[in-house]
Amino acid sequence: MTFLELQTLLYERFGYREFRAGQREVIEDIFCKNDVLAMMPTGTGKSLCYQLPGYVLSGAVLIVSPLLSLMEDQVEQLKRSGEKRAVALNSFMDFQEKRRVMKRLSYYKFIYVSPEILQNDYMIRELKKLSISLFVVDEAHCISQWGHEFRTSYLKLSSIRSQLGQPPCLALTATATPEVRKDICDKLGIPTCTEHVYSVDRPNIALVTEQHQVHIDKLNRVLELASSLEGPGIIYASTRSWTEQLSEMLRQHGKNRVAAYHGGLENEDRLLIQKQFLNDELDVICCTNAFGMGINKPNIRYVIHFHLPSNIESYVQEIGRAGRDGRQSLAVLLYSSGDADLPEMFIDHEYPNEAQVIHCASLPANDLQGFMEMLDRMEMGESARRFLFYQFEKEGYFSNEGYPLPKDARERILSKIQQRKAHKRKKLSEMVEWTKGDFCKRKKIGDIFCETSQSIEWNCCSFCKLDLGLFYRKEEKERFFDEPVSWQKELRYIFNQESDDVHEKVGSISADPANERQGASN
Amino acid sequence: MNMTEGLLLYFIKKFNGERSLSGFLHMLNGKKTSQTLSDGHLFNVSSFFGILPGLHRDEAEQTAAELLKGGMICLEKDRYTVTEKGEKKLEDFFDSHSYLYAFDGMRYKPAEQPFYQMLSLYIQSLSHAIRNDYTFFPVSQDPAVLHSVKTRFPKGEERQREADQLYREMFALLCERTDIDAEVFVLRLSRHNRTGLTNKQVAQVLNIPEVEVQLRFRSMLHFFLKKAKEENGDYRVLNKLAAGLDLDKPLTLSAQKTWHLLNEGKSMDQIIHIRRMKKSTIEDHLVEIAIHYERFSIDPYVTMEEQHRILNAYTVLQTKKLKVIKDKLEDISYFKIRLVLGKAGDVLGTANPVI
Repeated sequence: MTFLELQTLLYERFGYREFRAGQREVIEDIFCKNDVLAMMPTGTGKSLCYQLPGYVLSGAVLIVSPLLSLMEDQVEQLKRSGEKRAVALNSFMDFQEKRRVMKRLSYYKFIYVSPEILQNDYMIRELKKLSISLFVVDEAHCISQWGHEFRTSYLKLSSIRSQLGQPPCLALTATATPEVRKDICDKLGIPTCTEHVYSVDRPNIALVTEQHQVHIDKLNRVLELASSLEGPGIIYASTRSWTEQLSEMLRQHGKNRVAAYHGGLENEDRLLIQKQFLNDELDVICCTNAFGMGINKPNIRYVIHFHLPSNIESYVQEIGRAGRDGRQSLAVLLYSSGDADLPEMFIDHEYPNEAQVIHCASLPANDLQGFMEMLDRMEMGESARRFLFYQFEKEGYFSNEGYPLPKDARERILSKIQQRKAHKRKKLSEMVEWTKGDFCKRKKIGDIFCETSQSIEWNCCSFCKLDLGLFYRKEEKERFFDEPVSWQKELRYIFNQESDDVHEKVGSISADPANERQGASN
Repeated sequence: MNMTEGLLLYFIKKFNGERSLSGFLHMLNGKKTSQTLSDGHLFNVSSFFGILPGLHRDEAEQTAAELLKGGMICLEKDRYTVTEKGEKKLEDFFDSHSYLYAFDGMRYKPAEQPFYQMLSLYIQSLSHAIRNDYTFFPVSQDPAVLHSVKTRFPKGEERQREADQLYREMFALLCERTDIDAEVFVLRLSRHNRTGLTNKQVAQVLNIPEVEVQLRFRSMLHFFLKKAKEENGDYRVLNKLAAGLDLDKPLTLSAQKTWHLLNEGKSMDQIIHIRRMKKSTIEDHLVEIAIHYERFSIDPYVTMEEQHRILNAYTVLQTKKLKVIKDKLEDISYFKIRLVLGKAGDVLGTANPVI
């Protein structure tokens, strides 16, 4: 395929005149059937790197994606752009729906799957019947971030790919240090892949860190920022209750277009709040890191961190949600001493403690379900449970029914925990150091990712030169339902009853309540 | 009085000291068991089945303690009853929450969520399609819901007509309700240019408690479902959307299977054998079935003479405590007593001991 043909396809299918940095290179490699690892900053069109080849390659594109919402968003976006042959397969689908989709699997061009559902033999058998032209692993850093602890299905992707006839592999990520990139290639079994690494630096996002004496100063500051900065914006906090408190505080101070978002909300509410934010019906969303991945909103103007994330990769990923439209945007991290305690605690809770491991190891192995139920009773977090289960499985505990876990295996698990915790603590202190240090924040991120990012002249970071005033709001937005609600008016608007004679007719009916029921039977 | 207090007080009144607090917690939570199904019937509280799905035991106990402190209930031998003051408060409570009368949990709780999902996506799609806007974010991503909406969605020209019709249906139904109910309902819906609000956001806009918004909204869904079904023809679109929802299956899933087998002419012993279940489990199912299906005859299981004796004992003792009735009728099993009381439930309304 010539470059000109590619460009025509790009315009016809996706409406872009030109490729963005890196897209063309990655796509050309895919056409050469090379395995590729591409690291491109968020908002630079990663998904195009497999969607466009999808229209040229004869077979289907299989995309492994870590999150249900991410898959669904991608499918929705494809559908909105007129591509109907996209589907998301996951363990939450009900049986009938799954059967309906599986029956016509060969119809689909873009098949999104969770790593977990690929563990299903039936699924693999069905996929084997298709011709898979490209095996994509989206958000590939999850392999390294979660694969070790609890998304252990990630570790089996390499063998699944070979069962599917070893199609070329494309691993995509927005943020991965060289160390993590190596881990991805190892785990996916693509040691000879071509790496396309584009800088994580986003020159249009100014980086600000602020240290405050006490916690209350941070609260005042977040209020001040949210009241004066041009939105829409995201405020990240590390617990559910903090997102609620921050949103309530902003509301108390007259900011009505604010909502909290976290994993504890009903699914339905989460979806509504997401859509409100996407439709610019909210100015600020106060959320945990449950919000963001897959949120494709181009005009986010600022990201504030009320609490610091546990590592710099997460931070870069989270602030990367700002300014996808290329316009000047702002990232502010608020810090006060003691802020590292919370992520420190999270690290501890991610793993079972020593007593729990010793206790479990001392029990003779019985059935899987019994073991899981026992773990449930032990008040461990989800990831600690999964970690323990996976480690026990790896040590062959379950195939030795009636026996406890041998001492050497137990020691291996305990030392693994120590190792992982130490690693995470190191990442956390790197994050704290970055926050507090006297250096150019942009350049330092570059150093951590082994890149050569330079300070920029305008709006670089709080250490270099920065004028926050540029980010202040120019005009007040209309407020959220300030007028009293008239349900009659709302209902008329919903069904477009304002312009035609139906409105007239109903209007006269409603004048006489006795006629209301007739209105319905007309 | 807040919602939990009001509803708990109502249940205490209805159960009148014949069940402990945990005895009706499952009922409030909407957990379908043979016990809740038959209690719902026996004490005539089926309509409030599942009205407070998230209520925890601790919270219920704490609320009961508050009510006790406020002199609205009294506690004797682990059983609560309502005081005169409580009765009065309860009246006030229902005066200001009259929308609760439309709530019918036993019948509509399972259909609530699917119906809402379907209705809101249908309305959102319609509201956009009639303005030729096809680039909105659907409020539901559940493939099953998307599919159902798609198969019911009108084509081209018919869309505005469908919108006109659905407008008339909803307008008529909302007119039957208070303005505040109608406001809650329309604000929850997504339309062209506006995403629907969450319960919490509606509560903020209308300045009423969130739990009240939630119950007003759910009551409206029940009301819509009831109307969609009852007056078939008048509410063509709503009826179409409600079609296929699980409306008429008040039984637990397991009892449904037993009911199918009974309809195939299998005997109780055969069913025990086929389903490999304990006798007592199948007995629970039969009690459920007796409550909900009029055409199910209990005569093969209880002789006429026994039926009379049970009903007599009930009338004389004026209690729904099975133990008390059983003590009186030593030779008759619990199963038979439950079966007869279940069957007779409707005529045994507390104020109306006909027999």
